[in-house]
Amino acid sequence: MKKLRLFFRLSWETVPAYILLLILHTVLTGVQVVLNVVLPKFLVDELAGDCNLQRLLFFGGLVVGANLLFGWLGRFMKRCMDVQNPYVSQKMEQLLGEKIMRLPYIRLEDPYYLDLKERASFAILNQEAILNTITGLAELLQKGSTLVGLSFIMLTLSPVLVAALLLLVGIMLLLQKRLSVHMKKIHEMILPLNRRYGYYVNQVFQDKMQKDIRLYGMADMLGERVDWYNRHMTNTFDRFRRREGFYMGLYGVVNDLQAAISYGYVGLRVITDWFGGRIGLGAFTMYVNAAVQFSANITQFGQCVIRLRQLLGYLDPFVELMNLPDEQNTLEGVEFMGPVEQIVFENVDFTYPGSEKKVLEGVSFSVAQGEKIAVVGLNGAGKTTLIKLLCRLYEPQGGRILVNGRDILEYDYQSYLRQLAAVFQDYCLFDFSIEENISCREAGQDREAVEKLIAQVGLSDKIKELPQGICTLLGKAYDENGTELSGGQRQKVAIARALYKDASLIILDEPTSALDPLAEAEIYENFNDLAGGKTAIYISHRMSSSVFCDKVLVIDQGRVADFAPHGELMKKAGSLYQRMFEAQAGNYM
Amino acid sequence: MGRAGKAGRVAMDNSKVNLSYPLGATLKRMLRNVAEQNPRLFLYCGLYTVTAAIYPFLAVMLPKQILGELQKGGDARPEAVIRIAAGYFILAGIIGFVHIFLKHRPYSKLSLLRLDYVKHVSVKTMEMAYPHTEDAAFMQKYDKVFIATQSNENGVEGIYHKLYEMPAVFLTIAALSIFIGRLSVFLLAGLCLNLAAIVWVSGKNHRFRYEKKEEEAKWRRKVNYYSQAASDFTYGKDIRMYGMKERISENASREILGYKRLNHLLASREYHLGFVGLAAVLIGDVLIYGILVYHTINGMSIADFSMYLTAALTLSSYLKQAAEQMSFVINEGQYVYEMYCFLDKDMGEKGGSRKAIEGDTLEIVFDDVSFCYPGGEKYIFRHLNLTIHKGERLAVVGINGAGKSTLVKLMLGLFDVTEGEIRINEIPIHEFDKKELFSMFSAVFQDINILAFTVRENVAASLKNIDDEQVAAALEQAGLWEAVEGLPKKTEQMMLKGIEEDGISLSGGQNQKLAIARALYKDANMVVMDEPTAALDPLAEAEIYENFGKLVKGKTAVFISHRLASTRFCDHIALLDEDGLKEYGTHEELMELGGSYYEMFTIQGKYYTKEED
Repeated sequence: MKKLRLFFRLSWETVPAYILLLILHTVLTGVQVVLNVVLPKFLVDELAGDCNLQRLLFFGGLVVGANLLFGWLGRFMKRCMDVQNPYVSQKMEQLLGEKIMRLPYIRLEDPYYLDLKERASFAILNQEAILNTITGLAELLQKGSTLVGLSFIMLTLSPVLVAALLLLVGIMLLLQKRLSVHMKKIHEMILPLNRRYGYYVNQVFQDKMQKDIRLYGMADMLGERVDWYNRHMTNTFDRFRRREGFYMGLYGVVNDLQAAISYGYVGLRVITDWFGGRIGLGAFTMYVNAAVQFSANITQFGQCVIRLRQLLGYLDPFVELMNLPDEQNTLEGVEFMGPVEQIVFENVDFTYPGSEKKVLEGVSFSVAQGEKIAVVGLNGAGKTTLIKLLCRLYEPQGGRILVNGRDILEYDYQSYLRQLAAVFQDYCLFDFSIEENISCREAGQDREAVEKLIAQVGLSDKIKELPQGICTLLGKAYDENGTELSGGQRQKVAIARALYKDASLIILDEPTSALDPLAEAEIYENFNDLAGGKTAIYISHRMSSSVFCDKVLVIDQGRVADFAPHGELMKKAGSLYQRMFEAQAGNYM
Repeated sequence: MGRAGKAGRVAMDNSKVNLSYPLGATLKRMLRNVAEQNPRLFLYCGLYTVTAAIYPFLAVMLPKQILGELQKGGDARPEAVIRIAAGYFILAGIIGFVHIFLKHRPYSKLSLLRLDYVKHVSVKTMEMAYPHTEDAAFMQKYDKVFIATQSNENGVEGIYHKLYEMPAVFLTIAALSIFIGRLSVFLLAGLCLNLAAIVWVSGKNHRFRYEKKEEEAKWRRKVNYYSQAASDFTYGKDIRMYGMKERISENASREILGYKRLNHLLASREYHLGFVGLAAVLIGDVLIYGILVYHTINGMSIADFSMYLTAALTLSSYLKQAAEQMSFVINEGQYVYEMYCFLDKDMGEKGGSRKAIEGDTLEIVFDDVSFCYPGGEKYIFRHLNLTIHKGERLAVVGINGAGKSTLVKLMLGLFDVTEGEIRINEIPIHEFDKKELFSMFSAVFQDINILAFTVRENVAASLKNIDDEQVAAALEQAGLWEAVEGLPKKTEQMMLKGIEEDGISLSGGQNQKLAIARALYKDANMVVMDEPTAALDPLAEAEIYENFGKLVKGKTAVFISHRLASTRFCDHIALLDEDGLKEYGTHEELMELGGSYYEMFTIQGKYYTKEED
């Protein structure tokens, strides 16, 4: 029920007029069915009786007119649905996206939520669960109102027939139910298969796979795997289809029995008075039609209920996701006014959720305002985790992180984040213009500052080449006329974005891995100018970068191995830092 | 598939909408495919057709029989009514059961026909010439090919399902038409008019939609971009850090509205055309009821009236069904046709006919090579001359954008030169069969691709004929053997988390080693490494450098990097800049020359060497 309420609220907020229209339409469709049952009675009675031409014309006209009217109504509704259905789907997807943007970041690194998101978007995109629920509910309403009308007609003839038909309907629903239980089982079996299958087929279209696929002749192995899944999935489905055919066949048989009973019973009512007073031929037509429609509608009603329950089941992940608490949005805790004057890590421990291995253990160090700190260590030492904790993307399990003497968790999140600018290892640029990517706001507001930064990070030449300069759109996913920049150029844009942000702490995680030596040296040497008085922390595998930092923080398997200026560290022979430095320096001797 | 290209030009090509395609040949090929893959489907279809065609007649006959009995008035016998109803139940029950069963039974067998095409299209995509994969317009140009195999309801499978059901529909229509035609040809004409209107309207609609397809794709792409950016977890950090939430939401709303407007245009047009259909419905209805009433007044029985009315309504709904099925087949056939064209087309996968060179390493000569990317204007190389001698280790260095990776792509035959010629051991590169050509290189690229296969399958890049000793040796040499020994299932361990069951993920450095083991296992004539250490820490990087000699084993090797350190274990260095090959020689020669190489080396080494001063 909670699900339905959320669902109604969302769809009502998205398309209120459409919902009203759907309700109106269902009622009218109900009327149509009843009319189609009742109108021919008069026509037949007239034909069997006086054959008055005027009345024949009138009743015939009614039948034809009603058909015309409802034909028009159907087309009118189709127009609305063609426009609204994709709109609803896209809006729901948007709602999902907005929700994800509001979630606490920590969830985004949790595989459970990644899976949840995928199931949720599968439900609304591929199964169109929301759309189908809307139309399903409308259909339910329609069948319901039709049934009320038909019941009145049927009951005037015989409650016994109604009871007999209901009994058969019960059998049909039972069959349906068994089938849907089976279907659910198959569905659960096929879902993971489908996901894996999707993975393999997707590899075929991955840009970064293409060279390896050709050089190593991987077409065969991927092709074979796809083929294996093809057969495996077909076999799984095949069993289900056989059973489906069987149940649906039985279902049809019960349906035929309903028709036979209806015709037989109503027929007997015309020529005998075994079950009550005799009726006319016109009434025969009407009741037979009503009976056939009654059983059809009531089965459809039942199917509708079953399908809706199934759909609501599909919606579970969506509902679960939408009901997750948001990231705090309002001012909570102490507002952080900045600037960052001091950062202190106090005995910080951290383990990723669902893992047992401590990534950071007893990490303590402090950084003063304006200091430039290099963080070095082997792959997997915990450098990036350190940064994530400082950005409050995760919370430490032990110890505290203090900024300006206060635990960072006590600050209002938004105001805290305002003082931070970071270039993450897996940074993303958006398919906006270059200017917007740097300024992160509407274009044209602060062009000079953006252009200055572009010059500082060494992107001016490239920008000049572009037809629309800094207004050029990045990426081709959004607009086919957008420009793809190289990895190094993208990194420069990301660095400019971090520098543009009016923050007092700047964090760079491997900011120059895709840059060539000249560009790298340029960024390093200018960095003190670029960052100005801002406090800066950066992670790099280029040991040369730590030379011009105030201090180097060496992380080894989650612990602080050393924290001192480069010069001092180099004096410690055999230390991790010294070994790492020499490994690279050796090449330049 | 990414990269800049000739998007604009292709969009123009596509605007020439071509609706005519060989439908007959396409369907024939589809049926031939059934005959090859699963001829039993024809048997299913035959049985289904017979039962499904008989079934609707029972529903037409039932009211006629009963009413016939009822109209006898006083002579009507209740037993007869019961007999008719019971007879109907038995006949309809049996025939109905069989036809419904046969309708559902072969569904997944028809699906398999589609899935097989998914495989064929996938393999073709993986084997087509590499430049297509960098062509940003490729997906757009061939989108129909991929749509053709995308779902159960459309494209190939959609048509197969329809083809399965259609003979029954046509048979029923033929029988009902004769039945009704004997009463009144006009009645039949009314129904046909109705049908003609439906076909005409849906054809018009389809054409209109087809013309707007590009526009629709454009809007859809824009809408998709934002919904994906919002829900992609990897965007999460930057969205939060740089406060992008509102902008993404607002832009998404704007694009969704734009898409809605286009849809409204399409739906409105369809709606207005629909009035033609309504007029036809009106005429058809007037004819049916008029003629039947007329006949009844002139002595036809109510039983017959009822029967013909049911027959006419049934025929009308069958005609509509047939029209929908036909227009479906015609419309979707286009996608299937495009798919067949793609499968048949020479996408450059074959190349020449020369076999790989055996038992020798390679010499590669760039003879006056000029190159610009297809559709691009900027030349990456002009008149490049470079010889990579047999057994030589060449380091290729240069700033970003100098064309280092392009050089590799040309050398591997992934791209063809624009002018000039590349020769491998004196043989022009284009004379090689592509697969044979690729087989001559052990290459490691910056992007490491570990797939959801087992360790040994990843190393062998194959599922069959894996030499396990070779796998072990390759892992050993790459320095990964110990790590693999520590895995629960050793070399049978499934890789990647979250895909197959029990998959595990290795660290970045280990993945890199696995990629190197793959290159070692291949043991090709020549080794090429394109920025293989960019993501590695200094110790892991040093390890790879040290192992480079083992890897190469006297073969010709090219090592590309913007880390100049790599030059130390190479015989020659080629420095590229925006104008092409700028400096060439040994490390000592180039340092003495005092040019760009000297400059880069000193800048990069500055902070390392300062300590020694």
